Amino acid sequence: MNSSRIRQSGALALRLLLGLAIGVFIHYLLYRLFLPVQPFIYVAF
Amino acid sequence: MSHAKLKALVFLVAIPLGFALAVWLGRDAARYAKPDKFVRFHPGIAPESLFYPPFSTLENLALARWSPGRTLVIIGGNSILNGVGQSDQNLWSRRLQEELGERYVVVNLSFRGALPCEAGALVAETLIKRGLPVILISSTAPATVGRVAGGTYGYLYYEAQAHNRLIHHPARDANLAAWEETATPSVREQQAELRRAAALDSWFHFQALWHHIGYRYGFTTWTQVTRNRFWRPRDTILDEGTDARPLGDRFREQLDAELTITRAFSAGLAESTGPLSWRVYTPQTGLTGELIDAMFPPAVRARTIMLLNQNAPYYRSRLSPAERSRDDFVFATYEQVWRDRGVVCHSVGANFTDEDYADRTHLAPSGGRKLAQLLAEYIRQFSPP
Repeated sequence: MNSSRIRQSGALALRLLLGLAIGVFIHYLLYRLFLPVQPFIYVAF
Repeated sequence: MSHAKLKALVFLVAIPLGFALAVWLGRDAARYAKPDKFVRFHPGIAPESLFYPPFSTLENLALARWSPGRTLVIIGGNSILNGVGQSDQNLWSRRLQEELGERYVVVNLSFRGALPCEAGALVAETLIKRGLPVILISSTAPATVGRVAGGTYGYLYYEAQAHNRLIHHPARDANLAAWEETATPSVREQQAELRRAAALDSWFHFQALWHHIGYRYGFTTWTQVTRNRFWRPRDTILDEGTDARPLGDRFREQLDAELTITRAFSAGLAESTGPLSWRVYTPQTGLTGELIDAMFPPAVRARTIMLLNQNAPYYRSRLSPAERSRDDFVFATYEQVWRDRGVVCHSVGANFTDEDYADRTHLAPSGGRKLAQLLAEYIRQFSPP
């Protein structure tokens, strides 16, 4: 009984962490989405 | 509720929670994140290596050093004021700080290839809007003003605008709208994307958070500049700017091309009306004046010292007497164009020596020292806020 409850709590914690990580990753994707593809190349003239 | 449904619910609720956590961290980072022991934006913390410091970082750099009773000297402009040709230790803005003493705080926010109205100029504007005592130093060539949007550093304008940091200046809005109307579809699309990015960032603060993480903990994008160990935190990348080469090794490379550029500084801006006598082309002075009016709000103009940079004497001494006379005429004319708009303007470099230049346009450490001494004098003469 106890081990089943522990397994269920573990699964919930895993889902929570996975969801949090995906949320943070979406935030990171916003940053990457707007990052220019090519870096600025400085040329003095 | 069944355990399967509960797991799904926890998962679905955790996604927006994770996003909200990142937004909260980003909002926090926007308030404090900035490079440590900052001296200037070297390629490791600049767009050359896909590091686009957010506007909040530039603001933080200035605000962190200021304290009541001191005047902020914000250095904008391009690679000349960024100190290409000078190592970190011999950087001219360090000398300027020494010359000015503790009453002033010098912050070098210049970027390579930036226009006089970009980056540092926008930070000066936001600080003036907050009511802080600020003097903006920037530099350019005669007839070069440009626009705050459209270039590499245009993102800073959109970010500053989206975060409501700028002084209301309808002339700038009108000028940019007119420019965008006549721009190519790809340029218009690029500007629209930058606006979208800035608007989203004002809500979600992703630029501040991920640039802070990239600076402090590790960068996630490969770039040519950082190729061998691109993941390194950017705070471990040193400023590798070097001092000018020995005098004997300077200037001779691509002499013809450099002389052509030196001549072009004034060739298209004035016409001859007799021996060593010149008349300025008025369309260019008119356009320059309009852009100064549009890109610099009056409150910023009143707090700006604009420098017009002369080319190295090695090249100017090779011009014909007529070309040199035209050069002098054009520099004096454009100094007056800036002054007519309420900007203190000086040409610099006319009495510098070969030793003072690292190449045609950038200063060596000795030139940097001279520039610092000159500017310190100009700044002290500047009327207090």
